[in-house]
Amino acid sequence: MGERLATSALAGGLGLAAGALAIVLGGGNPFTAYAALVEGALGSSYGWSEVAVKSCPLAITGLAVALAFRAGIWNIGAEGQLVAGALLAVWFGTSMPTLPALLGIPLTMIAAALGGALVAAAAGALKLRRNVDEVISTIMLNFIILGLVGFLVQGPLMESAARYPQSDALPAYAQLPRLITGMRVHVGIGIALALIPLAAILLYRTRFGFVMRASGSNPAAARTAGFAVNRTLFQTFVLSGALAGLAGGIEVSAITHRMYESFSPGYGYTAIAVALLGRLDPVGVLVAALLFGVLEAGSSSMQRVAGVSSVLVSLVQACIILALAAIEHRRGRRSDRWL
Amino acid sequence: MELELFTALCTAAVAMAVPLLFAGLGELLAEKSGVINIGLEGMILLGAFAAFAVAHATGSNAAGLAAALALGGVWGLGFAYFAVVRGANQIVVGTAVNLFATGLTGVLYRSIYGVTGTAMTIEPSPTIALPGARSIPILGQALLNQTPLTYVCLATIPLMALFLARTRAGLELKMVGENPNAAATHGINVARTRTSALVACGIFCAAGGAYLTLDYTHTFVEGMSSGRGFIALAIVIVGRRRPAGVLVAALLFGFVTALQFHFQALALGIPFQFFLVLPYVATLALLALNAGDTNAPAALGKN
Amino acid sequence: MPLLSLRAVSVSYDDVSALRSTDLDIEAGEIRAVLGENGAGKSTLMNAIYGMVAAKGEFLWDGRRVAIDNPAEARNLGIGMVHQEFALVEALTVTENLALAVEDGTFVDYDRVRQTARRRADELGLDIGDVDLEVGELPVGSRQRIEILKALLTEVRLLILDEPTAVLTPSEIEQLFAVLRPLRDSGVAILLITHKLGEVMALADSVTVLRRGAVVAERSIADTSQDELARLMVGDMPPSQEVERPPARGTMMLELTAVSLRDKPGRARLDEISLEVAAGEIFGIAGVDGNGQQEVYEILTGHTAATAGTWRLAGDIVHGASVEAVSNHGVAVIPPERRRDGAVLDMAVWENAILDGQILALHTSKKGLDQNRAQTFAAELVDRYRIVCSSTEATADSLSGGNLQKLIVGRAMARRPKLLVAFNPTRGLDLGAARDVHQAIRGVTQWGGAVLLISTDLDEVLALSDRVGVLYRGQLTDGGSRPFARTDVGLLMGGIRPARDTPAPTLGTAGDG
Repeated sequence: MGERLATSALAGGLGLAAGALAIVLGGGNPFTAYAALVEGALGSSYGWSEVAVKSCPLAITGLAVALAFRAGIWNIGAEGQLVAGALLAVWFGTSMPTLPALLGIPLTMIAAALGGALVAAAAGALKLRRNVDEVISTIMLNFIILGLVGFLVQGPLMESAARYPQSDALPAYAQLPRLITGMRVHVGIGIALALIPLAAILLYRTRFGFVMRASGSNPAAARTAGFAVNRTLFQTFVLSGALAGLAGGIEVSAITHRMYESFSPGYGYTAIAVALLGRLDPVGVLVAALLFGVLEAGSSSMQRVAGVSSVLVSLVQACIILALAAIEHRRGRRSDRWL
Repeated sequence: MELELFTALCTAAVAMAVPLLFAGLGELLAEKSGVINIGLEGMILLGAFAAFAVAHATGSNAAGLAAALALGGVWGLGFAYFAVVRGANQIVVGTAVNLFATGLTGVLYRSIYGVTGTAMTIEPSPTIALPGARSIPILGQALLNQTPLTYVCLATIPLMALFLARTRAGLELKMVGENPNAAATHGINVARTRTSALVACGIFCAAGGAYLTLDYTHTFVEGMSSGRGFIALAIVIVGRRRPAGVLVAALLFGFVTALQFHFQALALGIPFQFFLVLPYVATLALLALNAGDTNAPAALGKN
Repeated sequence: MPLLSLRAVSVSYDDVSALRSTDLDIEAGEIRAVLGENGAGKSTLMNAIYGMVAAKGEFLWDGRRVAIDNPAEARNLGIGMVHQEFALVEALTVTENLALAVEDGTFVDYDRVRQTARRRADELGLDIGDVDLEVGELPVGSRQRIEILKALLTEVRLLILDEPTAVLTPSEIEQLFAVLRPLRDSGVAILLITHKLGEVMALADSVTVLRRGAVVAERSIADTSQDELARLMVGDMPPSQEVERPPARGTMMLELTAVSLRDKPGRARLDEISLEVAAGEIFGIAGVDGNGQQEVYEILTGHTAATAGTWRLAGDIVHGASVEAVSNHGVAVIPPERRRDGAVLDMAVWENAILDGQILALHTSKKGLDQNRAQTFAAELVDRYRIVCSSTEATADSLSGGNLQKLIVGRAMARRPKLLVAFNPTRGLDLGAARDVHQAIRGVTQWGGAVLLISTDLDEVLALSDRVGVLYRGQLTDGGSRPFARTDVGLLMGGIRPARDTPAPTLGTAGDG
């Protein structure tokens, strides 16, 4: 565990160093930039609230990706699943009759999870039934969902005012309450925090998690052991998609309230970096999501104060992934050079 | 349909197809060697930025193109370092490449050019009319009155087909992608072959990116690759990993994309997003129907 | 002067010695057989000559010292090799597969490759058929002819054949010999790796016998016999370490009746295998790798469905293929590739201890996976089977091969299986670990379980089994019961029916081909 922590810390450091290098290349001062970033994220209670707001979808989609990767499923589709979740939540939320919030919010969340799960199930069925590589299918599905959203918000789901390409706002009884006036920190963060230990229990304390991990690491051994590998893989697809969809549902229900084309700033892709930096472990995912939440929340202040583009965050994330990949090189190479 | 409109559509289709073709041909080489590169999107973006930045600074589009190609090669080498030499997962590396490109181009663009309201532009690359450009209807305008890079791109198709079908290096590439162990018994260095393929892939993607800035938009916009790298991934599959197939798929998807620009004029009664997602739907459908027979190299994606 | 001389050549993989200080000479115009059991180092030796593995020692070519660092250099010297697992690319055409051996310019002239291939094939008398078909569409015999042609397209002075007849029918073998003999007469040196005694006697001029990575004998064919070669190959081990157990004849735990397995082209991989194993009995299947062991294993573990015949576990007929169902019938498995099929290497020792559907079920309840109980269980296994590990939290890949295998064996034993299927359970283990594993396997019979032992190590089969069958080319022949006639079993493994015996009764309905 200590060694893994050290590797992650080293990779994180290398990522920040690479970001600093890019700032220097662009003629900026990395110290000023990073100071502005930290100040923006952690210098005020509003900043802390924003860190929580940004970390929330990253933590949940990070879990979605981590669970899939643990089972050996290369789900690159958390983005599409997240959007599909939000889409179904909005469709459901804006079309359901007036309900008490105690019922409306959970139903909206269930709709969101269902939306993500449906998309992931499609990828799972394609893989298990038709042998279609999930990397390709989930990428394709991401863009299909994106196109679908574009169509819906300019067509059937367009707001009643018909002014902008966006959906109507969710009714109040489908909105996750915010916790502090003037800040965006919301109840959904509690859901994210609750999901972390639940995912840990699932992974480490249940038969399902055991079979899932075994199937992911070594499907041949899992089959020999008599485990139902294919069924477990399909269930993991669904679970992963449901989590990503839930993340989308929380985001739309607590933050945006409406659906529009650029709804997600790429949470589902950042989630891959979160899962990898968190070493595919729920607690690690939480830590990584918080770190990336700080980066995302502080980046706009960095852009304002130091003139460094907020997309620097992507660069840092990429370098963290690459550093991890380079450190974790294959072990035990054979001595022969050609076979 | 009016002839003029159709001519404009075809011309736009070719213009849309060129970057897809460049990236698709690059991916074709990488996949033939057994490496799946989902970082095409980032490689296009970096090429676009490098071409724009150098062309803007020097006033020479040729210098911009050269810079983009060089950077693309370096980029491919970097991919190979992680995915081939260190044996890292190809999907992970590809994901990182895409994030990296978004970040790097964004940071550099904003720090070099600032956040100006008006887009910076460069001199458009000239078009060269070949004989027949005026006389042949529709296709003359679409194919024979284009920029040099377009001609290079189109000429690459038969060259690539020739390379794969008739050269020793092409044969070695196919062997490495299908059966690295068998390739090794011929004394072929598997790692070196894959690295070369990835360097070529980087150069091709950068050429596609350079086309976007130098020949097409004459400016740089953040994220301007806008999914082309993923469509390129799709056309390689739809084109069944053959140069001619990739050409057809690229032209088809280019045409479909061009349709949106003339969408209102056409009044087809179909939502234009339908055309946007068509490449992806077609790819999924093809994969689902053709399970197990996609002409994919046997060792694709395996380390 | 020999064409090629090896002096003190050694190869090791990850510090495990595969070939120890080997000398070998081969003359032009000589067919030299290299004979040995699985794991004796034959393939390693050939790969070293062909530059596929890094070897220490001296290689003399025409008396001149050479370094053969990769296959390209070997080919330049004039060495051709026919690989056991054909080095052909299935998705490419025959012509494309042959091209690299003909063309060395930038461009490949496939017409010239076709012509060269056809001409050379005619000279050699090889029927290669349509050269524009993809190799994947060809039957295995054709593939081998392509592989041989590939090796002989250029001027070759030394031809290495690694188990060339393993997948051929008898008539295909005859055709192969008809190609090789004139080649030898034209002055080509041929190194033939095989374990088939009949082929050695029929084709070779001389023979080198390898055993456990070292040369144990060299003979001229004129001065030896099948019996002697069989003895040299399997060794003259004293019939020791046999533990007398009362012959148990309880209920039939495993019954196979005329079980066959045919592959897609219709070739029989298993040809009407019949056998019975009673409670308290250990039945051993001997034979050289690739004669149907993998297929028997896959059927009995539920990975593959037999294409014909019936099989019963404790009287119940098993239909189709399901690992889960077979496991629930009380079958425990010791898989042949322990790192690939027996363990999840990046999971902890305690997790690997419960890596089995039934054992996992014992350690899960409504409240989920009981880690404490699993830990206790793992600690008991570690204790009972003397598994050396830093802790049960250590990952499985930190265990040595022997300790990992003891963990896998202990896990199987903990189920008190009705039937244990063990495939090469001690391959690559040191003596101490092998003894522990053997002791555990014998233990199954004490609670009335049955054991089906599949092993390519004859010593192991003879030491453990009550009765033995020999697999050869997909057919199972009776190898007798205790006390075993070791040399006879060795002959059966080489496809020779012992002459001095009365006709060997077969266990299956099919006779030995």
